[in-house]
Amino acid sequence: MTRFTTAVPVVGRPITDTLIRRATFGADGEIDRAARELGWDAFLERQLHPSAIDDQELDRRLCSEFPELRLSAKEVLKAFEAPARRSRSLVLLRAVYSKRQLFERMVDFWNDHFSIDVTAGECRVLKTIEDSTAIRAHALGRFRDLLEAVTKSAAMLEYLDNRKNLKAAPNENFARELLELHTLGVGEYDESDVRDTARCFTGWTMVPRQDSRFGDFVFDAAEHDESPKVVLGTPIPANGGEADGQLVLDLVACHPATAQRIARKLCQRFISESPPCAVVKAVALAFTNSDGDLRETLRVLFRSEYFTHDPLDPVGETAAEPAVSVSEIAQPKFVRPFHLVVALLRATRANIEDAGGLIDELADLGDAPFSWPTPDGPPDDREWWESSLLSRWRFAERYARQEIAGVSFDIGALTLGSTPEGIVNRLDECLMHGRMSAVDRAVLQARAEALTTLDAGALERLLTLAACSPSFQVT
Amino acid sequence: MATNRTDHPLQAAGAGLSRREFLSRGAVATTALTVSACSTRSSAVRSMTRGVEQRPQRDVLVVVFLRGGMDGLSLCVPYGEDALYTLRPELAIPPPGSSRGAVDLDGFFALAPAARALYAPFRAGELAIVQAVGLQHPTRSHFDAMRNMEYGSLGRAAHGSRPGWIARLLAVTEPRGDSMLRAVAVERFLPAALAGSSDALAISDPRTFTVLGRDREDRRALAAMYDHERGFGRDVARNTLRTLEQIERTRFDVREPPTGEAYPDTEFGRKLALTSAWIRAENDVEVLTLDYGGWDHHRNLGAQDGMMAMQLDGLARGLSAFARDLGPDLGRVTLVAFSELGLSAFARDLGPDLGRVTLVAFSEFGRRAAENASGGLDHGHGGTMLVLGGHVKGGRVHGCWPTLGADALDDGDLAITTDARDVLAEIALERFGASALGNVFPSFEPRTCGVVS
Repeated sequence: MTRFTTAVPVVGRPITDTLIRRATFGADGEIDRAARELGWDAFLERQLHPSAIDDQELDRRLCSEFPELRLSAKEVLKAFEAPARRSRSLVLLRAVYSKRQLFERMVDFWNDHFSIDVTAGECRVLKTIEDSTAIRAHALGRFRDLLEAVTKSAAMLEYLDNRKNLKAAPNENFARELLELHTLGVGEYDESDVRDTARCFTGWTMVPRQDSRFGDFVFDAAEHDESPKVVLGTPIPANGGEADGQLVLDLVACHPATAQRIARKLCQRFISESPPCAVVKAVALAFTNSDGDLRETLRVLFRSEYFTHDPLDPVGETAAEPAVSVSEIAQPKFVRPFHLVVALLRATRANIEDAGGLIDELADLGDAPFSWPTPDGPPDDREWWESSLLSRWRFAERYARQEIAGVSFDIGALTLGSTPEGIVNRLDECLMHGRMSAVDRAVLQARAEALTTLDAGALERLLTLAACSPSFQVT
Repeated sequence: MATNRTDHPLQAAGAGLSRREFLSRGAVATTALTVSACSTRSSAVRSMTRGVEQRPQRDVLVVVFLRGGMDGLSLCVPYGEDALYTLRPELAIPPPGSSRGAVDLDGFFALAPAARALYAPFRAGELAIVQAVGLQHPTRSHFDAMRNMEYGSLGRAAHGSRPGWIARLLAVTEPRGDSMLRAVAVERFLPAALAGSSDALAISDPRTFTVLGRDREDRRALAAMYDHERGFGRDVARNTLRTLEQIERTRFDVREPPTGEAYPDTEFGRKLALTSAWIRAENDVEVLTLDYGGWDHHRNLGAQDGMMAMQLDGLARGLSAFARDLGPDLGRVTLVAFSELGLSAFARDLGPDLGRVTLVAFSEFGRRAAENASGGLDHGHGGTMLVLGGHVKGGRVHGCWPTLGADALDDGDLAITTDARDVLAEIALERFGASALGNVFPSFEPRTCGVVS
């Protein structure tokens, strides 16, 4: 637990709001206070070493409410009626309450990148195990390790059918998505690469559900195609056995197209939908030079001007002129519904007794964890998410009225102050960390002034409007 | 309803064009011509009593995307070809006359038993099937192939930088009515085919499409905030807020078909029932889109009694219920709806059955001709399209059959002999009155395929 000591500068640059906002699912009053005390470098290093962050409070809760975290797939199968729903609740609670916020954001990123629909086949029991043993184990580790752990996980073997990839006539499903979605990207390989990759992974399967070791990876040599193959121009000699698949993982994990693609996706997630080429290039280079070390890759990403310069904080340490313009840095990034919901829960210091009601809301918003119906994962595409704007407003309204089962918050604490201006300031501080746009502020204040009594009902309406506002749809 | 033509969706779409730079310069110029011609005609319409003749007469277009790569050879089985049974010893559906055999359509093709509900509309001439249809692009990626379909053009360069084909179709046609809402995706999100259109919204259920209903001032405040927003959601917010009251006023009669079997108890069944309710409601919605996913059967296809059979059953019973739901009642409902808008002549012109609806269903590609060792089918090429409606040349399997011979296959898959855009363009032209097809499907010369009249 205390492996990480302070091998980082204790005195450093002051923290920027951009870093706090983007490295987390939103400030909750606590993490931002701690971040300011730590300063820029120490905060980032701390978040990059999550095991050193004390998260006992959450761990204790999860330990008592989610015994499946200690159970085998076979035991989960027997013990729970709705394991898929429980796995979604687990994700939400961790995103809201974990102090390891950057880690949770990276877990979210990889769960999207290696998207698995938890309702598909036996994934309902297998996904949570993959989430622990592959995604969470390697989210800030090495990409090659992560890729192999996911490839061998029962959930992925089940979801993309590789468990039934047999030598007589291979099943191409996993092979294609490995190349197209998990690594290189479309256009970087051809159909013969797909076919030969599929042959390399014949026999990569798992223990079936009848057995107590249900879900464990096994290499079935009898089902492996031992003839020679060629993948991405590299000859793979005959009789390689399990090494065939390992060789393919080596090839694709260190391929420049993979570095470029992962870098771009990370920049899209943390910086902007269309990140500048220079930043993507630097992050891709860090990925390549560090042999896919994700911590090092993220370090370079977060050290870009986007996070070291705070356009709204002129007194911050902005000695050197940023290479990107200040207006570009200030460009807000839209948030997906999952992020929006988590940010609102954090901003309001919500007490989640039972996450079920919130999971239903997320399903209604089209963004419940592990629910994307296809293996490409949800897109970082503003236009797509914008088109369901009304469902965001409906959520904000229901949440502000405390109509969602299993969750509550203290609206009084959130809207301290008795003047319209005081209330609007407080909403701005809690929800947007002082970034509410001038227009949103003016409209909200006018609305507050028009309400004759600022009773609980009025506060609900103001919170609704603030959470519906354009300023809260971005970070 | 008073309409301010200067704030007309067509102009708004035009503004959207330049903002998103979705058309080439040449295409923008053409569109501008179309817009100005329409505007002239529109002012003529506005200055006189609202007439019948000026309103474009067109079908309601229903577009169903069967996402995941539907195996057309398990829906419309080419049992007349022995190669089918060689390529798919385990998975092919046996020919008509055998035990659990397919339902013969024309002596060569037959319907999967699970899809037998389509037999009645096929025989009634309401349903046409097009075989070996798709897009001539080598990709076997779902996501690439879907984008090709939705943007109506091939290759990544053409994607994302311009609106989808249905958005373009709306941009080159004059609105049928005064509504700001011309197209609805019966979904949570707008599909790429409608992306970039300011006339379209994603409305998964119109009966719950409401927010901040307690106080009009709250909605005004929301409108004011988004009106000034240059970032997230401005156009969608404007579209949503100006449409809310119209939708709240509309009565949506979601029902079971008056005759025969009910809609299947599935998400797709519910979406079709909502689609029918939209068509029968008093509004001017011209295009409805819906998705039906779950066709990616790499393993355990089960065309007789597994997953594929369930999917086909849902598709067939859904479409059949939809046809019956709209069929006998549509004439009356349409007459009521349109006579209030002064369109009785248009309404009288409609046939009693599905008179003003054309539904088209397709997938991003068909599946591999040969089965794999896990009882499934990998990604393929040529697929199958269904066209349902009152002006469909139904009761026929259209398209030139390329055969399943080893030489005829395209990299192991059914070849494509009909470009999907040929069918869509024909529907756009004949049933939707779009003449500027070059703007709908850029760099494409559609051929007549005779699927609709």
